[in-house]
Amino acid sequence: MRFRHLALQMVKYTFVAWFVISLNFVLPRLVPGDPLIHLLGEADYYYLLLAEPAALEALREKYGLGDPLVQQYGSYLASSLRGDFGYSYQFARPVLELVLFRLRWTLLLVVPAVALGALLGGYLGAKAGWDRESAVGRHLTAVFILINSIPPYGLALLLLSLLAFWLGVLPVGGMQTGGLTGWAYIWDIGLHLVLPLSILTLYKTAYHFLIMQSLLDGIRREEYVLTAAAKGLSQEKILWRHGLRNALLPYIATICMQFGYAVAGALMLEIVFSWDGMGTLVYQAVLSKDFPVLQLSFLVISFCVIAMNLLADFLYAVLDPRLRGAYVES
Amino acid sequence: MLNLNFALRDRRVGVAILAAFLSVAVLAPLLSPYDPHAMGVPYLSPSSAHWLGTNDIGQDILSELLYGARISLFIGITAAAIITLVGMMVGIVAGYLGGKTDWILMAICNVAMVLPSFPLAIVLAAYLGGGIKSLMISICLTAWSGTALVVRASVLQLRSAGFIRTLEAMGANSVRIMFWHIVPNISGLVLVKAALAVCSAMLAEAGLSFLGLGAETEKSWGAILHYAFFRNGVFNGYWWWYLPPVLCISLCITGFMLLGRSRRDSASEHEVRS
Amino acid sequence: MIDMLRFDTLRVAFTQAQQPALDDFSLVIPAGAKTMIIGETGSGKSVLLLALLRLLPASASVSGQIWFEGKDLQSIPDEELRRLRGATFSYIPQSSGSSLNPLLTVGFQVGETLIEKHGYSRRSALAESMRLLEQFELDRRVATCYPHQLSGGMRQRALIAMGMAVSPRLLLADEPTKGLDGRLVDDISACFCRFRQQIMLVVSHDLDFTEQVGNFVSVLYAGQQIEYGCKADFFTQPLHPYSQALLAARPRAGLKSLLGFAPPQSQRQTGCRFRERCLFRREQCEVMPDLFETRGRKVRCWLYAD
Repeated sequence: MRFRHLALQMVKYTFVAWFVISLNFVLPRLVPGDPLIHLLGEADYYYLLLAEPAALEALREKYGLGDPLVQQYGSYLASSLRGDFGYSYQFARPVLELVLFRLRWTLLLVVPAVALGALLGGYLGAKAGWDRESAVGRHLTAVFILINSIPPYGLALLLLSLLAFWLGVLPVGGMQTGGLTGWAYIWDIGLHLVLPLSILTLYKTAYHFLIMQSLLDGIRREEYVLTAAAKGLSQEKILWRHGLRNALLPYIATICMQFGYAVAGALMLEIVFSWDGMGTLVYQAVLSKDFPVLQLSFLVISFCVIAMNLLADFLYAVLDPRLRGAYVES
Repeated sequence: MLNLNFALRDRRVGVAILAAFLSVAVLAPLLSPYDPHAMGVPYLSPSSAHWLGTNDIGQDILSELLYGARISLFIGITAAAIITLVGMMVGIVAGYLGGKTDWILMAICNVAMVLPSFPLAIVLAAYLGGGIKSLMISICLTAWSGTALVVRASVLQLRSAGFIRTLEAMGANSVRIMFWHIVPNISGLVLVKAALAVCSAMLAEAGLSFLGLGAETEKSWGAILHYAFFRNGVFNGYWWWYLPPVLCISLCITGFMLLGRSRRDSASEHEVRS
Repeated sequence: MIDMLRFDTLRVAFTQAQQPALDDFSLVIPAGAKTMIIGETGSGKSVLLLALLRLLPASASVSGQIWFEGKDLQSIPDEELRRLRGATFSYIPQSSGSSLNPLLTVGFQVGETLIEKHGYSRRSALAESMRLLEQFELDRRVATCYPHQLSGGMRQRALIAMGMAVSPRLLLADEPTKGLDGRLVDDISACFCRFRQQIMLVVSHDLDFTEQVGNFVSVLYAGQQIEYGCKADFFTQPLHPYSQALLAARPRAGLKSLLGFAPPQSQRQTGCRFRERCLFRREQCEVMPDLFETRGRKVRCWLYAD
C-alpha cells in the first residue's frame, strides 16, 4: 500500500521530467527569430555563419527545422534519450559532457555544504527548539533569520573583499592556482573551497536550524511527549527517543527537497568566487546567449531536484510506519 | 502573552523600516543630489561632492542607490502581489470547487513546485532578454504555487465548517461565497504569505539583476551590485560601491520578514514543563 | 486510615485566563481507596492530575501543597519527582489521538517504564507487555503494531495496560473509559477494582464506571470542589444540586438534562458558580459558600450550612 503512493509520486516526477524536456523543445521555437540561433546559441551561430556556413546548413538539416513540428519533437525526444544535446563549438565538446563535468564541481560545493549545514543546523536547532527558555536559542534564531535576508552573493562579496583582498588570507578566486599535482593540488583546491563552502554552509546551517527548531517546537507540544514525561523519563531520553525520532523523517525529507535551492545558492556563489562549476558556466552562457547550455543546465538541475524529491518519498515509504495498513482483529 | 508581544514588536519594527525605504523610494528625485544617469568622472572615492563616490561610468552611487530603491521595491512588491493574488485565486478555486478542477490545478501546482525556480528564471530571462517585464515573468512563474497550496488547505478546512454549508444550502452563488465569505477568512494567512513573498521576490530579482539580467538603464540594487562586482569594484576595494546595496537589500528584506511575523500559537496546553 | 495523599488548598491558574482553572482544592485521599473525580470539561479535573505530576505547561502557576508520604510534591527537587514518576506514580493519559508515539510500537510503549525504571531488558519488557495487553483482551500481536493501526478503543486499553505495567503506589487515570462501550467498561472496571493496596485517583465523567470502581467521589464544578463523600452516599443521595442534576441526567434516571452551561473561566463571578443554573437559588448564593461538612460528607452549598 505504501509503495502505491510511491508509484504515484514517480508518475508525477516523470511528468515533470517530460515537461522540462518539452519546455526545452518549445522555447527555442517559440521565441521570435531563427530557431537555429536558439538551438546553437548566439556565439556558435555567428561563428559558424562566418567561418563554416556549410556546417551551419548541415545543422539546420539535422535539426529538421523544415519538417513538421511533430516530427521534430519525435527526433528531439529520441536524441535526448540518446544523450545528444548538441555540440558546443565554443568549448569544443558535447554540451552534455560540458555540463556534467561542471556539475561535478558544483556538487563538490553543494553536497558538503548541505551535509554540514544539516548536521550543525540540526544540532543547534534541536537544542533551541526543545528547550523553551533557552536564551541562546532565541538569539541564534534572530541571527539566522537575519542571515537569511542577506543575499548569499552579497555576503560573499563582503567576505571576499575582507578576507581575500584586504587580509590576503584566502585566495581571491578560481578553483586552483594551476600547475600543482598530488597533495599540493588537493590542498590548493581545498583552500579555494574554504570561502565559498563556508558561506554556503552558513546559509544551509541557518536554514536547517530554523527547520529543526520549528519541528521540535511542534513535537514538544505533542501529547506523547507528555506521556513520556509522565513515565519519568529524563529530558535527554525524551528528546532522543520521542523528539528527534519523530523529527528525523520530516527533517531528512526537507533536506532532500531543498536541494534545488541549495544548487541555486551555489550557482551565485560560484560566480563570485570564479569557481568553475555550473554557476560560472551558466553566467557565461547568459552573456553569450548560449541557449543549449542554459537549457541543458536547467534540465540537469531539474533532474537532480527530482531525484532528491524521489529519495525523500522513498524514505517516507520505507520508514514511516503510519503508511502501513490497519490492524485487523481476527 | 509573551509571544504576542514579540510578534507585535517585530511587526512594528518592520513597518518602521519599510516606511523609511518607501519614503526614500518615493522621494528619490528630491533626495538624490544628482541624476543617476548623468555620467562623470569614474571610480571616485567618497567625498563631499559624492557621498558614496562614483561608479565605473562616473554616475553618483548615492543617487543610483536612492533611485534603485524604486526599482527594487517596485519589482519586489508587484511580483509579490501577482504571486499572492494568483496563488490565492488558484488555492480558493481548487479548494472550493474540488473535483476535476482541483485535480488539474493541483497537478500544475505540483509541477511548479518541483521545478527549480532560479535556473528556470535564468533560462527565461535569457530568452526574453533583460528588462523589468521579463524579470517579473521569471519571478512569478512558479512562485505562486506555495501560496496556492497553503490557501487551498485553509479553504478545505473552512469548507467543512458549518457556515459555508449553510450558505450553500441557502443557495448562495459559488462565486459569491468564494469572494465574500472565504476571502475574509483567509486574509490573515494571505497577508503573511504576501509579506514573505516580497522577501523571496526581492531576493530573486536581486539575484537575476546581479547576473546582469535586469533592466539595462534602470538599475535596481542588484544591478548596482552587478556592476560593482563585474567592473572590479570588489577587487579594487571600493567598499562604498558594493556595501551599501547589500545593506539596503538586507534591511529591506528584513523589514518585510518582520512584517510577516505571525502570531505564534500559544497552544501551550500540552507543553511539558521540565 | 492513614492518609497518603493530601491536597492542601491547591490553586492552578494560567496566565492567559482571568480565573484559576482549579481553585482552593483540598482533599484527603486514603490509602487503599479509589477516589473518583467527576466533572465536566473545563472543571479542572485534568489539571489536577497534571499538577500533581508537575507536568503543567510553563504558563501555569500553582500554589498550595500536595502531600504524599510526608513530602510536599510541589517543593521537592525536579530530579526526585522525576524518579517518582513511572515508578511510584503511574499516569494513564486521556486517549486522544496522539497520547502514544506514532513511530514506536505499542508493545514497546507499554513496557517503556519497565525498561527505564525497573531494569527490564527489551525482550522481557515486550513479553510483559504482551501479557498485560492480553489482560485487557488485546491480542499479543497488538504489541508489534503501531498506534495508528489500532482502533480508538484498543488504544485506550493499551494506555491502561501501560499505566498498570508497573505496580505504582499511586495510580492516576484521566478518563480511562472515554469512548468505550458498556461491555469494555465493565471489563476495565473489574481490572481497576482488582487494585487493592494502592491509592487511585481517577478522573472521569462516566458515572457508571465511577459507581462500579470508586470508593469515594469528589465532584468538581468550574474549578472548585463542590461535593465529596463516599460512593454509596453519593449515588443514593447526592447533596449538591449539581450532583443531583448529574445523576438525574443519566439514562436510567430518565435523562433529565440540566439547562445551561458551566461558566467558562472568563465569566465566573463572585458567589456560587452554579447559581445561574440552580433551582434552589437564594439571595445567599451571591456569596461564595464554604465547603460545609455534614454527616461525614462535604458540600459547597448554602443549603447545608449549619
